Amino acid sequence: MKKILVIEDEDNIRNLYRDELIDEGYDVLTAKDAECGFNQYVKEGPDLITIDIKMEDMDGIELMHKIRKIDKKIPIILYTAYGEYSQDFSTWAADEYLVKSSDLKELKEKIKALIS
Amino acid sequence: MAKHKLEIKGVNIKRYVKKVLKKEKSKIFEKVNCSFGTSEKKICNLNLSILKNANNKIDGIIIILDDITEKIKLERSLEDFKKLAHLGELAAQVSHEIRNPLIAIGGYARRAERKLLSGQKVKVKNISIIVNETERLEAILDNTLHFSHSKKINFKKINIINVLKECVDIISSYAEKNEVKIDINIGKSLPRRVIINGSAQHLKQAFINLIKNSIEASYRGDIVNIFLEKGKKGKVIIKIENKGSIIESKDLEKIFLPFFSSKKTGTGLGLTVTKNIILDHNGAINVKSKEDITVFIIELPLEAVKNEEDFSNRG
Repeated sequence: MKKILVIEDEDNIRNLYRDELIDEGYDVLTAKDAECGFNQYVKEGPDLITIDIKMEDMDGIELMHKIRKIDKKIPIILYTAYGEYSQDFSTWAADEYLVKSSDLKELKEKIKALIS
Repeated sequence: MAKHKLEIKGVNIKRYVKKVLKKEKSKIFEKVNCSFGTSEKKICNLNLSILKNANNKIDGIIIILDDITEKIKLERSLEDFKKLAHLGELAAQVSHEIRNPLIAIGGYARRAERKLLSGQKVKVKNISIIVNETERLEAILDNTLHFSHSKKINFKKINIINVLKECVDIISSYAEKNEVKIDINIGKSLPRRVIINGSAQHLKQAFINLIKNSIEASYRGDIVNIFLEKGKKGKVIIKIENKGSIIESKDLEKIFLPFFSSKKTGTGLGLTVTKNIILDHNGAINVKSKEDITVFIIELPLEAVKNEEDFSNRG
């Protein structure tokens, strides 16, 4: 079973992603902030990571670059409520960039394409 | 002084001259509405300078009318422009803030629909998330509406002591639920009636926001203290103080900004609304948070403070 790490500081969105991805047949780990997410990444070695950009302790882009320093290959999906980040080239190191939506179809498709 | 017929069409110049002569002192009357006998309205600064002779007797008056109509128009346009820019900024922030609850509502609603259509059960806790996030959206919108309407205030003479007492009555059941006591401490140098020019309805909202925050930051069994004190130069000071978790110094300057909240369930607009209400009353609000005490200090201009005899009757 493929392991996905969801790093998101909004409780209800994190739980929604977890429930929906479990239904898709993934093993889902969650983290409520960047620090916790980084520790989970080191400890659990997931197959894919989804990271929210706007988080209190560290921004998701910074966290992605911290992980990329260790692992250049792990698929990372950055997502945010703020569409304007797609113009920011610092987000381009992510495999995919998504604007948050209540319809998780696109997220599920991207995950499938990256780790199947 | 020799008698002259003094007339400027559309300006009651005699009234201003009389005032200057009465006090024997030159004066500038600002933003006087003038028509000069035409349909076009003008706004002028009226500069009346007294001329005195060697015997210090009034010899005449120099009247200068400075037409500031265009300047005022420009100032008003700039104000309107600032308001629009502010509104645009607020709209952008609101659209960002409502996205997260909307995603949770939509996401869980889609999930429930899918489950029901395939004959599966839907968890009550998932429906509760939809309800709770809807309430969060409603709170954001309520506060935003108040935020944008905060300028429409009907000012009246009100007794601030009564306003504070009513706030405590309103929030007392919430305090009891949180096992926190609220005490009002009225300074001994203050009379029974402390009158300010303001809106009781708006000030109640401002004080209740602060008292509610203080209750939430307090530990069970603690007291939220409200102090009413005489301030400097015709001002009254209201302090709302609690023990408990403090506000970090890095957050102190941000707490009045829209959508800044340290609470998971907060809209981040409560303190912004509070500050706007206080500013609309020509007051000021500050916060201090150190050791284990947080205190919000509000300063409001007094309309009139009744004398000490009144205080002696307070009982």
